[in-house]
Amino acid sequence: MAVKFELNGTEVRLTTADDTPLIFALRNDLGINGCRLGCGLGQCGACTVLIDEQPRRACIMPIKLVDEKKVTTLEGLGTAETPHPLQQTFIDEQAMQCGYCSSGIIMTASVLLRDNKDPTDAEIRDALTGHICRCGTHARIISAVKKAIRLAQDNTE
Amino acid sequence: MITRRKVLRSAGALTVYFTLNPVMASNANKPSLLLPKALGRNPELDAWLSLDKQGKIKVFSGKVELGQGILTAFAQIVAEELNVAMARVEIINTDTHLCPDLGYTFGGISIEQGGTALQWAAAEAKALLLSYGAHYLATDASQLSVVDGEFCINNQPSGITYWQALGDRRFDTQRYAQGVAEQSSEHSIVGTSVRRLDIPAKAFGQAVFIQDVRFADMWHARIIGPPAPGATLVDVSFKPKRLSDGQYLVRDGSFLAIVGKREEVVVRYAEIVAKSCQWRQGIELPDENNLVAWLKSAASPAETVAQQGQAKSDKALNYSAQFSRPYQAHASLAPSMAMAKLEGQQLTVWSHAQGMFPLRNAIARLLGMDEAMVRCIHVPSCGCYGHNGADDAACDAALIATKLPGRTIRLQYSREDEFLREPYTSAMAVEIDASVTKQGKIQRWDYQIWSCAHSSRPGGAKRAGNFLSASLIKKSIAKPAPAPIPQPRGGSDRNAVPLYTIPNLRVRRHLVPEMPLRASSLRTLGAFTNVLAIESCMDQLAIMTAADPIDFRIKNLQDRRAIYVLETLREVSNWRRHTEGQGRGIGFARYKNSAAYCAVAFFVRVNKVTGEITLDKAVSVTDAGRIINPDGVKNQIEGGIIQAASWCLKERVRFSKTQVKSRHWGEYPVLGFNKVPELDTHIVNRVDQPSYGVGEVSPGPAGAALANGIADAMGLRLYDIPFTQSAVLKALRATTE
Repeated sequence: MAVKFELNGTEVRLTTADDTPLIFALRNDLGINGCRLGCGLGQCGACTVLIDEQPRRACIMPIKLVDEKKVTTLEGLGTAETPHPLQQTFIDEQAMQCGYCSSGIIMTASVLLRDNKDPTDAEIRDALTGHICRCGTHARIISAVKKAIRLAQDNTE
Repeated sequence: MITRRKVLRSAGALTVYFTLNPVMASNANKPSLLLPKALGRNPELDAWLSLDKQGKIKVFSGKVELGQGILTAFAQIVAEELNVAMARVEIINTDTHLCPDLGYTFGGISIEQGGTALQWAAAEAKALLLSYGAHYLATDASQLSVVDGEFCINNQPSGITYWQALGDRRFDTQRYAQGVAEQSSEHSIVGTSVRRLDIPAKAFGQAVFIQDVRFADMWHARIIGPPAPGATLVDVSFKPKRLSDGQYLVRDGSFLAIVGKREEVVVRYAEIVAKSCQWRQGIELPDENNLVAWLKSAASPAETVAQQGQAKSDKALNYSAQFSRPYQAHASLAPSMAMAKLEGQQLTVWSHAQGMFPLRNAIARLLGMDEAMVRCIHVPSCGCYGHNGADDAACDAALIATKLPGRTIRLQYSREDEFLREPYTSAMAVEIDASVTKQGKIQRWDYQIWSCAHSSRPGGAKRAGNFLSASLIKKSIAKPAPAPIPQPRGGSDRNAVPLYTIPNLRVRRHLVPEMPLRASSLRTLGAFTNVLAIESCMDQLAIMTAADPIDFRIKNLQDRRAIYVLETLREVSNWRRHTEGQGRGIGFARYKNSAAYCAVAFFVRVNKVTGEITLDKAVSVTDAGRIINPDGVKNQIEGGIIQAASWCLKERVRFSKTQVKSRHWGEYPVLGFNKVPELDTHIVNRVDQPSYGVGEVSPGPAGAALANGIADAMGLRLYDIPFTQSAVLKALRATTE
């Protein structure tokens, strides 16, 4: 089928089988890196992207379901010149080792930051519980999310 | 003793970073002035370093980035020695056509070996550049200093740089007259928390991983692997060699793969073809609920690892116990992948495995090719923590590439492939029988280990049979006999000899030669289980003599650095003032008894009704000699603590009599964000001591501290990993019955 969606602010059109997992379209047809293949089963969170501003697992999302929708990947969140607060604090806190889980975690955390201006420690942990970090950088990630909350507030004041 | 304290606020916890004055440091053995082995094997200076025309310094490190930040540490070492800004240093990924052969990146030895060699090489390059600069500027080299690659005469910029002075020459020498500069605290780059070079690109979704490497002629591949260990392929009823729309089925004996243009189509065909496969059942697996009995029944006679004094003694208090660890997986976040292309006689392989040269030699052997015709290039993936599926993916990609020459083959394992194919860490059983005097001195220690070998890497031509597919293809290569790693490094017996002073000691190991489930290197090898068992025993002996666990350890130690780490932990962890109802436990080890020292205190709570274990906090103190990058060290120590907690509480590869059942994260749960403890990580920087790697230093002490914390909270010890909720309840019930 032919699908049309907005990817990081730009309209894209693709013709592919309607059950093609979104992750393959993003990575193989559209040159996206920030959506990473982990388990392919929706269990680990590495492929998390935003679909109409909500975090979704691209590895189990058939492409037909994003037709006419808005898809945001890590690349669409910010750039080196204008980083998203989370991208900035992940760098500041050195909140990764291998960094393979980071993109999905940043996408989920970006929604937490948008919807909850002052999340508690427990709310941050809850929000990220669907993500696996195997290197054990959880404490740094939680710290980076907290600092991003403050940074986002500073930016809007 | 603390001469300088930098207080850094980081990761939500107060971090105290100690830098010790050299005079105060104990065991002040000077860094060796012997040429580092890696330089001896690869003596050409320009094999290590070169200046390019764009004002950069290219470094061919030969070690690989595994997410541990090693390349940043290497860049720091080079920038420091050559007096240039970090931005001028460019580290080239290991490539067998370009880089010196440094073997594997493993065992926490990259800084010790690769870093030292690089420091020597950079020091020699600096001396050469100074002599060229002096000639160019018609002055004496002793008058020159360097700021960011520009020569200064009497501290005035000369306008002349390294790049101009070197001109078209290269570093054409094999002599290393400089040695390394005296260790000092004068460094401006080494010893500072320079930010990791690779992190920004990862935060912005740039192409950094092997998964992001794309070629125009690239086709996707999936394998259809044996569903059970040892299974062989009888028939594929889905016949056509060419499936449709450019999809191919590649078969060689029991090796089967689907290849094609579009990944989603390849995945779908792989599912269809897999269903049409008929496999002959493989080998029988041991009983997953009775692994200790199996290990003991399948083991060879004991080999003595260490012995002194008499193992028998009576006038003391005795303690004996048995500990065990199940098979556990690396469970890397990204399933392994690789790319390969055969052009004419030349095979190129892109891989995220830990050793490009051993991989090249093993692939050449498997395919019957000349090593010079195989080129292996490293591109990072996610953390591997040891020998995961990476080597096998490279082997499989190469096998497919040779059947479809002229095209880049991108082989991607599925999550299930990775769980089924990766070699696990061997199940292990340990028995301790120890005694202590009433005065708190350890009297006697008898220790035994039962385990499969801890390394079965397909490293080099002789070990190509260790590739999983080596036994599947028609021209199969037999699996080599497992080769235990000898002391002092040790495999199952790594860290099996306690660092404590023990007059009567015997340590033995029993090798289980068969491998019904493939076993190979996972971070720390046997050290994790050994440290957990030794330190659990130390706590029990302390309890029997009514001693504080830290006092008891110190009383039985002579090594001053070990004692300092424990004393510091007591101070920074508020050891004596833990919360009511909370258990506290300590674990200590010097990794391999010859590298970094680490002590961890774990504070935990156990709900005796639900059996749930809550990890409140882990405090650690590490002495890894001279620190290249304090924050990098912290990050590794922290990761090791969390991974060890996950091994302790959650992880166990599940299997039936014929098949592995852990095929996805639901069947192999790991510690998550809702469970991880708060961390407080401290580093002792001994600037006059050799640098030690830190990647494998904390898991043993952390696991031991956690086991001891749980025992303290429950008033009851658990012996068999994982310490799950149901294991807690079972142990509690057993005491009330």
